[in-house]
Amino acid sequence: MKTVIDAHEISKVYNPDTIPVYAVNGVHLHVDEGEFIALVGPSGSGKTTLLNIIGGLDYPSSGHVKIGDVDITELSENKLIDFRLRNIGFVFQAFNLIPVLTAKENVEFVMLMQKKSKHERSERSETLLKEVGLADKMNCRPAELSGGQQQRVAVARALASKPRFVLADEPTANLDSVSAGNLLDMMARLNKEEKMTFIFSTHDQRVIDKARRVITLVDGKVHSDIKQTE
Amino acid sequence: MYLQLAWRNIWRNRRRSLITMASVMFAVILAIIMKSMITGVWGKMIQDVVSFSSGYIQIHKTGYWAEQSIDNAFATDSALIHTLNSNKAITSWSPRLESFSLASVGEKTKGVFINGIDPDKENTGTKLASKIVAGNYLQPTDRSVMVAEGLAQHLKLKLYDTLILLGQGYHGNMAAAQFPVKAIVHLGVVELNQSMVWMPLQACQNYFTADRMLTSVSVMLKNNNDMDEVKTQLLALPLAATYEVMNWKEMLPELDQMVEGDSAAHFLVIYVLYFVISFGIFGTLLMMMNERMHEFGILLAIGMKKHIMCVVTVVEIIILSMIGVIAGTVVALPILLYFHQNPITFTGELAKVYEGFGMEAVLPPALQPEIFLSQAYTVFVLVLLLSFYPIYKIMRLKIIQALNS
Ligand SMILES: Nc1ncnc2c1ncn2[C@@H]1O[C@H](COP(=O)(O)OP(=O)(O)OP(=O)(O)O)[C@@H](O)[C@H]1O
Ligand SMILES: [Mg+2]
Repeated sequence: MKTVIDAHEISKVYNPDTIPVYAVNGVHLHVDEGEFIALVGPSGSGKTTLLNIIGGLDYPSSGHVKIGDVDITELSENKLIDFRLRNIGFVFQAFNLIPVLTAKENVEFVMLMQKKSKHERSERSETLLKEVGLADKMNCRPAELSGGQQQRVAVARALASKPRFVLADEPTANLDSVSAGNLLDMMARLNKEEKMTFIFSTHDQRVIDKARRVITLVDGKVHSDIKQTE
Repeated sequence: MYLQLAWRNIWRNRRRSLITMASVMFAVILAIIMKSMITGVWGKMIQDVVSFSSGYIQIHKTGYWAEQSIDNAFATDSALIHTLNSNKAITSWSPRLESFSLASVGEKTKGVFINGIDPDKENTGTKLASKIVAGNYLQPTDRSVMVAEGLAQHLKLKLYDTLILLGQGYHGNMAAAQFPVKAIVHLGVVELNQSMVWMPLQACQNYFTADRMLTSVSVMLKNNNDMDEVKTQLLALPLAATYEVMNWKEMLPELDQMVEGDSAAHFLVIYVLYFVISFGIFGTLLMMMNERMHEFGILLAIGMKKHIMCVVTVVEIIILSMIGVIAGTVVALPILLYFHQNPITFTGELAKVYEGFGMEAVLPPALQPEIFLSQAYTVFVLVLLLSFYPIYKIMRLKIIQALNS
């Protein structure tokens, strides 16, 4: 199996000089290609902080994160932007999309930044939107889409750059349970069919059930790391 | 697509964009109108004063201005006349032979200022004929004079009465002659109204025994801005070694100081206007940036470079302000055209004050394209300067904070 993420002994301390908060405390994480991982734990356990560090949105206080051959904790802020663009897909909790662009344009946008040709952009964005079941909504603006549909567009966008893996921080938190289930089924399908690696955080037990590996954080530490069968 | 993004961002909050455009528009309108009125009023004032006294530029024999004696007269040559006639910036020019004499009528005598003029040329520049209150304007071959109203009253002089003049001519010659009064002229400036006598140039040259001689050539220009260029051209002529060329700023330094002082005050007002407007626009930018923090966070997370974000944001601001600037210019133009056709006119006391200085009591706006361009440009530059704020915000953006806002 190819290793996608190799995080070694990462810690994140907030307010180190006053009242230190160990948001993440000495976490090791090894992720192989094609995994489908749920990151769970009580509120404040450090899920978002960990995902941000793995995704190169934030630097750890100590420790290293290797993605492929690159230690991203060593990259400058500017290099990180480029690295994220080429290697990591993101889905956030809500308001993921650029409100003035249509669904299709939102998906194309990442490829535009990757300087892909107009033809390739158009073709791939259409394929992806079809895959997430939004063939008929391509020219809708985010405001014209439901929350679940918006999240699907966000997933399509995350895939558009052909990343090594997709990080999703509570992608279903703002969705009703049916939409949440659908979104997860879709992600699971993409995981299977496209071998796309997903790591998502969640509080929702039904969503957790769909994961094949569940990592539980408590107080910034890995409490359990369980592979589950479907 | 980046451009599209900027363009659509303008329309995402229509009302705010309209307010921004409107504030830029009003800024431009106000700035243009103010600048146009100030320039126009001063331009008119300079024109009124200058055309009736010195002209924009005067040519005399070297040393005449320091010692204004008829002995410092000079003769023109064909090269000078050719330049005066052919230069496009010159609207008219007027040869003059000026000196003092003693005037007497019956018992009464008074020192007067004799002004030998080319009647047609003089009228083009100073509109002298329009100031006649009785009688007719001079003809070039007349052997008669026009007398200022105050002087006529002092000497109890009526139309067609004879005026006896006595004075010193060119190079010590005796000057003495008598002339019928062909017209009475009213002048706004009291001192001049008490002392002026006009006669045709030829008659004047005979009177002073100064054949073909002039004390000055007064030059009128279309535009005050052309003054330095015309002066330089005149100084390049062969005859220039023997004459001096002066502009009105040199001849009427008090007027120049007044204009400069007043302009400074008005510029202050314009700067205050710019300042107020800047704050308005800045407020909009502030709101816009706060509202978009989360979006910037997302864009940064998915790999958009900060400098591209800056470009997109600044392009948006530029489009907004361009529309405002163009709209402002387009609205200001007809307003100014209207007031140019129908200038604001003073009446009553204020009008008398103006007329006292020999000026018309009207406020015509200036319509030079530079005014429109410079004001539109200034407001535009202001907006560009203000857009350093979004750039600063984006460059300092912390991705996690932005995502959480
Ligand atoms: N910018 C910050 N400054 C100080 N403390 C912070 C900051 N961000 C997070 N924390 C703290 O770090 C800890 C972990 O926060 P984090 O957001 O990673 O938890 P989480 O597991 O994502 O929680 P939730 O389930 O509520 O999203 C919390 O105690 C939080 O208060
Ligand atoms: Mg969280």
